[in-house]
Amino acid sequence: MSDTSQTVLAIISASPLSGHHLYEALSAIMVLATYGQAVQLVFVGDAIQSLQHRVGSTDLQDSHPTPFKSVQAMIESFEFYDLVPVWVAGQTLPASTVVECVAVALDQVRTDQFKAVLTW
Amino acid sequence: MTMSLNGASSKQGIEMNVLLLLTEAPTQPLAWHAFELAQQLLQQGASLRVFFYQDAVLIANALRWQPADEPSLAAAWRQLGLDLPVCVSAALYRGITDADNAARHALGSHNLAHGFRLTGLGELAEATLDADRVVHL
Repeated sequence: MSDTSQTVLAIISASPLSGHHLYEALSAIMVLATYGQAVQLVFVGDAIQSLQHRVGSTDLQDSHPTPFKSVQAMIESFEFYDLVPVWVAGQTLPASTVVECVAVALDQVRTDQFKAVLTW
Repeated sequence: MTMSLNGASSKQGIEMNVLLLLTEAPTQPLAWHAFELAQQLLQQGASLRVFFYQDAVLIANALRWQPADEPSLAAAWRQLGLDLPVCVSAALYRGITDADNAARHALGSHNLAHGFRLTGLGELAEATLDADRVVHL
């Protein structure tokens, strides 16, 4: 990504267990993308778990109706919103991800070159 | 001489369109810092828009009681004279509604604070596209 002056950098650190907080964060990002705002997503820390294929389940995820909407389906749809590749902070990627990802060294990213930095 | 948000200096102050995306609850100090930043931006001549999202929508709860010796963040925002859009879905999720949405969703009453208005996330997107800089607090 060369010119980032019109791009919003969205840093997601909220874990999959943060419930509605993460859902609202991704909702806002997807609406921005729908309106044509360029967005670069970067997942850091616990949020990286959200990019992985579900290998297990929790009681909350399997209860009906679920108390929180699943963000996994939202993440799987990123390619239709031009939100891929998703950056993953760190040197290695998770073994199996639901969307296209690239590993980035976040300390090498010039965040001041972006139009905005949203942190969730 | 003042500094602009991207580091460039200007004798006239900040001549840019700035969007403040507010997500902190009124119980958090950062919510007050966001308001103080808005005050400063306006004093520096910035064209300022705000958008209340996530827990920041709680600022617009008219039923939020506070002791008399504590300032009201909602009243403070009103005094700035800005348009005060609040995300409708985030507000409804947290029990805040205006009269129209109360009727639409068969809610018993409404409690959106005076001076605030409910709107969709599309308005956040449009404001982001129009802004020179977006600050998320």
